[in-house]
Amino acid sequence: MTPEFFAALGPILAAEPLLYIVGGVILGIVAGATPGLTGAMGIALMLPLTYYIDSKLALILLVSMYVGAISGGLLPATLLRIPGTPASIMTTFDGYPMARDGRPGRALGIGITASFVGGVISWLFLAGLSPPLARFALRFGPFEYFSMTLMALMLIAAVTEGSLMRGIVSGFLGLVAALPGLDPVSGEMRLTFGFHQLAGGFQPLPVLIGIFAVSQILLMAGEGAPVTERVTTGFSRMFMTLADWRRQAVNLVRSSVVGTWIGIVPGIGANIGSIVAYTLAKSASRTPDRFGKGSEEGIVASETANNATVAGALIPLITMGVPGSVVDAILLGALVIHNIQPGPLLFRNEPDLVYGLIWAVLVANVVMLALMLAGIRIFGRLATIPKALLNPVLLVMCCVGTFAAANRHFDLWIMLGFGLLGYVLQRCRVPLGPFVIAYILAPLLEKNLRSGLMMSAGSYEPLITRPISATFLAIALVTLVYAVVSEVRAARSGR
Amino acid sequence: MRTFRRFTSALAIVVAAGALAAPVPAFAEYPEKPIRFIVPYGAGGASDIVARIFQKALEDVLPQPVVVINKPGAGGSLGAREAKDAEPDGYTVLSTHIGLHTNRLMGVADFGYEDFEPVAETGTIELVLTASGNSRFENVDDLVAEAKANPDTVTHATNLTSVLHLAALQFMNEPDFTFRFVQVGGGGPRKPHMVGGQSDTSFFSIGEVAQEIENGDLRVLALMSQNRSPFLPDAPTIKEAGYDYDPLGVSFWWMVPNGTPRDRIDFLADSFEQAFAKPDVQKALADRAYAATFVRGEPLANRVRSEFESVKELVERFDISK
Amino acid sequence: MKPDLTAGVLGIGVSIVVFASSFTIAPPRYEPLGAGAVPIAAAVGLFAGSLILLATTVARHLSGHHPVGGKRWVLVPRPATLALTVTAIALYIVLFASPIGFRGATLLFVVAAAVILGARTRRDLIWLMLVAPIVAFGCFYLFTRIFVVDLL
Repeated sequence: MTPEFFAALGPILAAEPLLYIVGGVILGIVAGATPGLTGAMGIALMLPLTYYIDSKLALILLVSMYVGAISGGLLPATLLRIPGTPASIMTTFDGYPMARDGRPGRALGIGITASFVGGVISWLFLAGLSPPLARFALRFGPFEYFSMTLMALMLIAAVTEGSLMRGIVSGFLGLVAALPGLDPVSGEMRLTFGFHQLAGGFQPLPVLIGIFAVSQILLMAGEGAPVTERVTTGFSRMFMTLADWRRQAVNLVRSSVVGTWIGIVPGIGANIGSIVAYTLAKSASRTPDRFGKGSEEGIVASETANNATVAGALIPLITMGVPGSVVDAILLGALVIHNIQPGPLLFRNEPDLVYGLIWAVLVANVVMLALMLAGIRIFGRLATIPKALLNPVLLVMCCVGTFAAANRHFDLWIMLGFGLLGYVLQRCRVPLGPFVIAYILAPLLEKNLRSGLMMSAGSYEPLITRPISATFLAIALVTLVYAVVSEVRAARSGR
Repeated sequence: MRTFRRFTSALAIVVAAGALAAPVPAFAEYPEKPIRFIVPYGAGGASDIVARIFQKALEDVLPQPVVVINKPGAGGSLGAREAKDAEPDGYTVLSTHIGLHTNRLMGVADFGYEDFEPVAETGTIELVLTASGNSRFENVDDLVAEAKANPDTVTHATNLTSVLHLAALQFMNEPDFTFRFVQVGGGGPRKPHMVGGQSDTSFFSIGEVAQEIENGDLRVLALMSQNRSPFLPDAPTIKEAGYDYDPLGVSFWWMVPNGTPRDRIDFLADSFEQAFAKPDVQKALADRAYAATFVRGEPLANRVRSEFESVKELVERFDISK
Repeated sequence: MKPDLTAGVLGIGVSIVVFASSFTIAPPRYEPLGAGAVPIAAAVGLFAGSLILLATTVARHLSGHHPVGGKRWVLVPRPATLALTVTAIALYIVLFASPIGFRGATLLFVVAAAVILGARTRRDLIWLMLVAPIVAFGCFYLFTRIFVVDLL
């Protein structure tokens, strides 16, 4: 921790940054607490608006939204059994039963506190680990980046929900979506099918807004919004007692560390973090049979871990420029738009910005805790806004946001096209996660491999003779073998 | 009334500054609506920054506001196409540079400088040839000696098909050696790549790496210019190193689609010239280490054409067209 | 049609298109892979993945191991609503840059989409009359005055 680090705290506590943090957290909670509006979608919609704000404030706003969104998902998960964001799926298992038993306040209270603890513990990792990691990453050349990205893709394929094959198909489709336009290495035109509008390829904003936001609204249009009974009474005993703290201490720390670690692994985000922490908590619990029926441990594990992934996933983003989750992929776009190059030199060139951003994550967690505890009832009501009124407005935001990015009308058609694709994929039970991750990571993979080959005059040898690269490749290989073996085993047992 | 006041205040500035420019035509109806600057690159890039500097500076020079619109994509050819196809009425101005030539010659775009009328050049980015701070190369001679002794081994991080690529070809051509090109991309990813010593050499714009040069992370081998730069006074020029040619840089050009009336082009050029003379414009350009060049009229047309010819010659000699 | 079947067919279709158009890409110039290698690899990978997905689904179906658990994907509960929504979005995109202008198009779209999506009660419609102009004029003001975007 350098003096620069502590010097960056003061400016963050000024009126303007604080305003952006509070605003961001509120917007995030709203996005998270509104079923159908995920954090990724909210941030993707917000991104064009930040074009015209000072870059530091813009990033603070987006990161605060990220913190708020992951936390806000707890509310509908508990009160309606609808996960506000995919990261809160595990919370529905125990939060809703508790709420139905007349203890919604208790369920939300421990969930909010757990979110805060997860946020703070993972923040310690973010603040402590990032600067040395950034220095280390200076040793990375194209081969190292290639191997690391490959490892990340393998890890994602291995942990993706549902069948491995569907994940792979989804990933390859994402890879294909990243191909058209100017080749990133030699500047050749490819796969434009004669449309000069495609010379710039499928840009991230139309693709992400289409895949996440438009497809979700189409799903709701086609299937109708789920109808559930809403729990409203019993907002008492929200604060955790000393005995609660003692009982949950191990769970809180374990889930935070698990969440942070899964956040750091490029490409996997909050949903996986919460699933793994939940599973671990269940197997470590003295009362595993309570899980799924209203276990406090379950809520704590899920909510601690999903919030811990937020700061965790920022680590590879700011130290290496590799997104740690889907939301971070959008944040990467934000950095690029604001002409800030994430990576090893960020700490040296823009200490004020990067340390300020790190402090903002902590402040956002504190703000989140206060706002959530104070505003439970209001935010809880968001889930009851009629979809028929909300969705048209969201669609307008999708179109304006997409258009604003590059002032291109053609991008709107790209957005609609990817909205339809996302709809079909979801109806086919093909997960969207691998699609988006491959769409973002595949260009990095291709670019770095081909750059590396230029460096070595066509030789693949450095991939295994350079030690850092070899380590990453070994992990990738082990992961792949493990995933295939367990898939085959699952298929044998007939599921 | 408001227009009139704007006009008089603009005139006052002209008089006060003792500007050389011709006065703004007194009864011109043009411009009667906002003028659009199309920047075919993303927000925050060099072209965008220059466009916004002038947007602000033109506020009290023009009776109408300027609107900067970013239309990024395909190396700038998407936005340039839009400007080419716009109504030639003086209300659409394209911000462009040597990328217009490279896109054309590399087959990214099927149109080029002939489709536009140049209005003004406002500033130039000069390039520096750099090596990592602990490189074995102290100067250009070291580099050329090794590169000649072992052809195709000295690595050069670049952004293929951009001006950096051409500048490297132009440099290779003189002492006659070959770099081993490594595609790393724009300045953002190339900086850590070079500081970490992954490749031997790379070109940057001065402003991009001023900090790294100062703290010793990067070493300047040569400034790609005929004369030394006030922003980097200790850096020897490529001419001092013994290679006398006119090195490529990136000059910021303003162009309007063909067919735009001559008096409107002149009006725009006058306005740019007035804005360019302002101290805060000069300071903003200097802060980014952009050389303060201003060219207009016939000299600019010649400059654009001759730069096209040099790029074309390089592309043909190294057979890199598509 | 079962979900896995659809996904498989979609994947195979896309892979064939990509594979076919990969051959028009210029040959490598600076390194052994070139611009065409990754598209071809992607097409092959997608084809293989989709084929395995199809094969396992069919095999499982034939062996009777996996009774018809997956719902038929085309048959959504409200196909008409879905089709109308997509049409409305497409029309909105067309009108977005037409002489009607952004504000007019947005007003029309918000009202139409809300009705399509099920705003029928009087309360909903009153809200709609409030929300639609706010969105149309609010967005227009925000994006043209505060941020500079090229809206008609």
